[in-house]
Amino acid sequence: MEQIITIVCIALNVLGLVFYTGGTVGIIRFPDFYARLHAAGKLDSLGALMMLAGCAIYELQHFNLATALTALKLMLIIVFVFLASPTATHAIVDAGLASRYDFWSKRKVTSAPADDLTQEEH
Amino acid sequence: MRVAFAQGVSMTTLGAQGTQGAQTAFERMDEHHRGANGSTAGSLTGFVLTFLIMMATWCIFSGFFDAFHLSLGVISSLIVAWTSHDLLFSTPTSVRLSQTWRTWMGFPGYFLYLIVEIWKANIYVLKLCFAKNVENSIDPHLITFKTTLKSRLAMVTLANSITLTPGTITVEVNYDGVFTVHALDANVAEGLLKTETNEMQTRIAKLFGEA
Repeated sequence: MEQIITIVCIALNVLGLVFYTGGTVGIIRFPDFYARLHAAGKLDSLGALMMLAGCAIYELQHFNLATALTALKLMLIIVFVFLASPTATHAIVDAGLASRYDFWSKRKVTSAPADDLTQEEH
Repeated sequence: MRVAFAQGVSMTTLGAQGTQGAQTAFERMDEHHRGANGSTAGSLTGFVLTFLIMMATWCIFSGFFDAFHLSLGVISSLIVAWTSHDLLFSTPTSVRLSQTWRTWMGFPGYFLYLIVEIWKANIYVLKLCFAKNVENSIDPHLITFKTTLKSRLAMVTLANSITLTPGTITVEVNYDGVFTVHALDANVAEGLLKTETNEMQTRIAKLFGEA
């Protein structure tokens, strides 16, 4: 039983690391600022979920109050990451568009849509 | 305090478009939240619920259950509940409170659905990351669509869910429910534009009692 739990934990952690690696590779390989954020924002949250879940399961194999509290804390970290990661990604993309940074497109470099900032210019 | 907070948000997000428009949009939202009789009753319930949540969090984080540490927790939770009970449960009229309860109860189910979606999204982006020629396999678009969701919390939930799922990042949401989304692929973008058949939006509407 103990061995099965250890194997599951290791599998979850390795899978999480694969997602983290993919995220890092994506940040380097994607063509522009916005596409890179897709890799940075999404792959990290699932990687964190898998690794922390693996750690929580490992903690819970000897169930008592102390390990239950540790597992609950790890769960709270997951909740925080899932709230904070999309919000931070959104804030960075919004900052990019607010300064009208062009995004990469197949046909040509497309201008960000004219928003309220354009009016101030004229 | 709640009004000041909400106005601060509307000023920062819509500030450049003119205060007048932001104000009316905000008032429309607030009316929707306040319910039929227009009262913001139930602040005691909100206070007690906030206190209980804060106390539970304190117990998890502290791990000491002797009288000294618990009394410190009670004092801290009381202070936090006193200053911010109108943030977490901003509109619990008696009708609204039962809806809040149903929303919280429905959340685990939604979270499971979201985990599956996040899994698919991550496999999709992971494949792109290791694709032979990244620039050939992606086709970024910036799209806008209007949601049918009404309450602010539902819109925020949709915005964060969109960011977590395949190849899409929410750039901006305004008070009228117009979403701006950066999509990594044209196919992904089309799925979002069909708002009537958008499964995620339907689920969120059900979760917040808007369907």
